Amino acid sequence: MSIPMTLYLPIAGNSVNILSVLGLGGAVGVLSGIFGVGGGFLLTPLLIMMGIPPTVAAASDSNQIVGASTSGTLVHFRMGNVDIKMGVLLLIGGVIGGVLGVQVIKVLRAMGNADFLISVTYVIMLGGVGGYMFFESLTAMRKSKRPEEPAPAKAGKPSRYAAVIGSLPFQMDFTRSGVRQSAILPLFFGGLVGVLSAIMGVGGGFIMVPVMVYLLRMPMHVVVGTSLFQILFTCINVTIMQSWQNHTVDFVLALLLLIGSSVGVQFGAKIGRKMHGEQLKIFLSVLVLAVMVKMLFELLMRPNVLLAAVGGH
Amino acid sequence: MRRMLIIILAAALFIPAAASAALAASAVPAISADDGLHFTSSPNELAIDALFDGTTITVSGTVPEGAQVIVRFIGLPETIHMKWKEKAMGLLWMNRQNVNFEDAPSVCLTAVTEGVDEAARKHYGVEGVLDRIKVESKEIAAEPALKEFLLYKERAKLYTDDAGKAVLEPPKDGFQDFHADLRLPSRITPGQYTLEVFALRDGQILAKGVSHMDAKFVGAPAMMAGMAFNHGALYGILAVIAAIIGGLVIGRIFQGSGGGAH
Repeated sequence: MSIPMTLYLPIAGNSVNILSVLGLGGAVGVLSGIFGVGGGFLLTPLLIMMGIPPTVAAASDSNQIVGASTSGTLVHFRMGNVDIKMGVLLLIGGVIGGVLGVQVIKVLRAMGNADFLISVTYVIMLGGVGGYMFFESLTAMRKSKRPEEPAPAKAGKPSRYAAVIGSLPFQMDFTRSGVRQSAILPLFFGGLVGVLSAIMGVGGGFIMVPVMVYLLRMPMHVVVGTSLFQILFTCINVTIMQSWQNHTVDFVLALLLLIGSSVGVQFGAKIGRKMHGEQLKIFLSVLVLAVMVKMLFELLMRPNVLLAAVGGH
Repeated sequence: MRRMLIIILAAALFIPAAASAALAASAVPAISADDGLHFTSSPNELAIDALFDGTTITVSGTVPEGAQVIVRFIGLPETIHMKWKEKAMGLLWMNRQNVNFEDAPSVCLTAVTEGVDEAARKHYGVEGVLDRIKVESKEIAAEPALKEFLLYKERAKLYTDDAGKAVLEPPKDGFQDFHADLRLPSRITPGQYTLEVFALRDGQILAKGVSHMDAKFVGAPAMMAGMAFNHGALYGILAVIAAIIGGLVIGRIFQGSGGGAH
């Protein structure tokens, strides 16, 4: 008796090869493990390339992220690395943003342009993040070759950004992070990630971590735990909303991806320890830019077929 | 815990598959039309189960001696709403114009025996079906719209005149046995379909036989689709619970690795 290798996905309306999905999850998991980033922003475009409708790919990816971030959040929570107050504010913003994003997808789906928005958002985000990472790594590699120069003394005057955020209302103390911020900031950035999470099917860690470090000025050990906490609940919200409003979550697909990526992460982490940091970043940025170029190419070149179905399947 | 998960997964996958296999094994009783056309087909119902990857419909029967055979699997005529892609701002391709295709079957697959008259082949094949489709659009002309519609359906393997092999046996007692295998793609959606067999001679129809066929979700896909489309919020909550349990189980298996993708 042969082992069946195909699985029918009723939400995507197509069958997939189980090994291909596990392999895809595994490959993205390896990259996640090597680079220490989430794979959401790579998984959705790769699923689209596999023939999964973009709206189903993005929504199922959110579902997969729920599973992927559960154990991580728990570990960080037990270690006291989650700033609950900050996390809850980010989460409120994330829920509002997620609801908004799902409604945007619903309207655009009815108009037949949800896939277009997903592709354009990916091109912009992957282009921005990939480009920034590439040039930052290149600069770091160049600097490391030169002899170290003494750093110029910093002026004592606070930056314009610090002055602006300091003047915002609803200032409060976040004791776990050791910062004082306006509640508006985490609400706004949480909302932004919520919108992106619904449109792109990503957790948003690649935006949330720099936002927490550079804009919310949080210490690194609290950043990872709080980011995971916020991502977990934002993706729970997006998964339920997408299921309810758009019927685009395929949890079997999500489960297969979760199994593949969880195994891949283990191998990736081992490989990552043996590689040089800046080389890793350059490699990842090239990969991100390659996916972006592929998606941009599809938006710019005449499609093979000039017709598209309305409202999914 | 792991053993239990494996048992649950195996049951979810194989029980519906076994049920649908039993369903598929039975053939429809012989359909007889006037003028000596008889045929049977198997399966008599399309069960879209967890392991569905398209299927093959086997049709066999008899036609009068000297006749050729066209076997056609076709969906019910319906209105298909689509979008026409155009460049936005002269740069990016996006869906812009509305195009409706009326009386368009969702699927049209044919297989023909050797020697079928070319005009008859076109009339009963994809080209004939396209001729009967009405295009409704303010901006897009019918001809390019139908050309792209055909391309769209061909890429999904839902419209083709080469869906399988049809062969005629040597004549015997004024009749000829025929056999056809029609390959159906995995993109077949639940609904009602018709299997038609045409017996032709010199391009003229001698006899026509029709059999109706339902495609439906069974087993895990039926359960999933029923939940997802009728009880979306509950389905979403269950999907979240399944992912959390999956994440915790996997986290325990690989305990100590920490992190988690995000």
